[in-house]
Parts: sequence; structure tokens; C-alpha cells
Amino acid sequence: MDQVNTSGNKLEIECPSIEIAAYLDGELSPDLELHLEAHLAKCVICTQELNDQKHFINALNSSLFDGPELPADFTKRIVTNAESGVSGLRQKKERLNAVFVFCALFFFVLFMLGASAPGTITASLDVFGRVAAVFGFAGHLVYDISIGVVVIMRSLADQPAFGLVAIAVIVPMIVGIAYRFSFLRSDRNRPEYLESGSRI
Amino acid sequence: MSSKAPTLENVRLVSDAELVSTAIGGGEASFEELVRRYQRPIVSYVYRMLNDYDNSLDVTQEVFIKVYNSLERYSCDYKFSTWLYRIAHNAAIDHLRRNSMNSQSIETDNGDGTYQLQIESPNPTPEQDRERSEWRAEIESVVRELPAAYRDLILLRHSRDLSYDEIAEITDLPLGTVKNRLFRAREMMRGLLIERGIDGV
Repeated sequence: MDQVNTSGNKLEIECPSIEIAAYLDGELSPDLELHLEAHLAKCVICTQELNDQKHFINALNSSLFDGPELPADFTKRIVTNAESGVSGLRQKKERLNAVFVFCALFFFVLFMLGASAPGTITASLDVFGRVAAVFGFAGHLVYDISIGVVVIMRSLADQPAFGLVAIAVIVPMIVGIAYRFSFLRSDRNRPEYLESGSRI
Repeated sequence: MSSKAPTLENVRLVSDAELVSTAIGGGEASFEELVRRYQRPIVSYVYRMLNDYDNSLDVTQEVFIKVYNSLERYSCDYKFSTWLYRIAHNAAIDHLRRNSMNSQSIETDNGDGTYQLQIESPNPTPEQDRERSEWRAEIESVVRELPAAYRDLILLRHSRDLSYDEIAEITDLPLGTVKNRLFRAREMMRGLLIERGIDGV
């Protein structure tokens, strides 16, 4: 927006309204502030704009400062609800106590079950055994696949073109991993307190 | 920073950062003082964002509970109020998004960085009509008509006198965008007030 001042010259600052707003908010750099003040001294239009904006900003500040009334017990309600939350701020000692109490209750229940129904414990042990067997099978599978890969690699190593193939496969993999790593690093540049704010 | 819990008498003289530190150490009076210090401004901000008193109380409570559960993550290198307002900002925006079925989109960007007006309820209550006879109520009413993205900045700046830098941190917007949007929001408000025949703006 080009405006014309009273002497007929074009303003030195293009679209100064936004700069006037920043000036009134105290957000202009010292250099720009001086520049704008020099301009205001010789421009009636911008001086009027400054006064209008100032008047409006004062009205906004005085109108929006107050808020609605709060219920009498609002503070207590918030504090009580916050402190009664299960998760969140707990001392390490409190957490250890909680774990201790949980374990004690668990073994007590086991003991009681064992006394009244011996079959229950046997059944639960059987379940643990089955779960362990599944994990064992998965581990064995991974082991077998690894051996297979090693065998294939060894057989390829005997081929003359293996070096080129290895470079063609391994280099892009390394580059890809490095790129992924750098991406994760750039994510961490954000201040932690802002991260927590955004998660919340 | 001392981790000794302040007594009830001197708790009002302690800085926010010290209150956070003692609250983490188990000082119940410290967290209560933090709530007491910020509950009014947060309710005021959330209420004007949501335009619903009951929901603003619920969201404010939710904000302080999240603050309580995250105190250990607060870094005292930054102002507590900025961190708190960021949480309140996110909670208010989340609430508006969840309830966007009942109102227009909160992000109605035209593509050039400007926003369209949200049309207020066509049937204002008699109480709203009475309020509009007053200057302050006119401004409140115009604030309610602003798109949420503008309203947010107007409230943070003029309700709590936060700097552009703080607003940028709270809203996660670039500094230049904060400056531009704030200016446009004020221009929109001035235009609306002139339309309503309010002089002096």
C-alpha cells in the first residue's frame, strides 16, 4: 500500500500500518523504531493511523483483561482432582511402595489359591510354559533365518562379482540408515518443554 | 533453587519456578498456589476461546491436571506461564476440534494467510442484546466472531499482554505469522466495530 503524505511524497515505508502495530506493541527493532518515528514526524496520515490503533489497543486491553467469575471452590476442586490422579507425579519411594504392596498381594492370592485349589497353580504354570515355548520357537526361527543368510552370503562371496553386488546393496542401506538417523536427530532439536506441551 | 517447601505465609512471595520445584518434591501448597495464580487468566483465555462457561471450567481443570502430571518435564529455563499457556492453547484447540461439528472450522485459511469471519448465531439471546449496549460487550462480541486462529492471538496479546515471542512459542507459529495475523485480526475487529456504528476505532 503506497500512501501519500501531506507534502505529496510517497512514504518511505511500504504498508506501514503493520509496522505501526508492532511499534505500539513494543516489538520493533530499535533501528526500525527510529525509522518509523522519523516517518511519523512528517506524515499526518500515519500519525492518525498510530492514534487510531493506539486507541483501539487500549480499548482491547481494558476490555479483555477481566474474565468470568470462578466458582468459590474452584482451586480446591482442581488441586484435589489433580492429586487424586493415579498416574502422574509420584515420588520414587511411593512407586516402590506400590510395587511392594502389589507383589505382596499377588503372592498372598497365589498362596490362598494354592491352598484351596492346587490345580489352579499347576494350570497357570502350564500357561507360562506354553508362552515360553512360543517365544522359544520364535527365537529358533530367527536363529535359523540368520544361519540361512550367512550361508547365502558365504556362497556369494565365492563369486567374482560379489564385491560389486555387496557395494550396490550395502551402500544404499548405510545411506538410508544414516538419513533416518539424521531425521530423528532433527526431530530432537525442538526444546523439550515445547515437546511436552505439544504432547499434552 | 531451594527445594524446601514454602510455608503458607511466604508461598505468595515465591517465584513460579521455585513453586514448581517444591511441588515436584511433594509440596501440596506450592501446586495450589500455582493454580491460584493462574486459574483466572487461564479460565478467561479458555472461556473466550470456547465461548462456553461450563466447558471452560472443565478444560481449565483438565489443563491444571495435565500440568500437575507433567511438572517433572517442565524446564525452568523458560517461563512457567509460557509453558502453561501452551498447554491451555492445545487443550482449547483440541476442544474446538472435537466440537467442530457444532461450529465452523477453526482453521478456515483462505490460502493467502487470511481468514474468513465465522458467522455468529443468528438468534442472540436477550441477554446478549443487553450486553451489546455496552462498549466492552461490543468488543467481547467481536472477539467471539473472529476465527479461532485470530481470536487466539488477540486473547494472548491483549488479555495477558504476552510478547510476540511468547505467543509464537505457545502457538507454535513463526514470529512473522504472529505479527501478521495479530495485525489482520485487529483490522478485522476494527472493521466489524465500524460496521456496528462504534466510533473511535
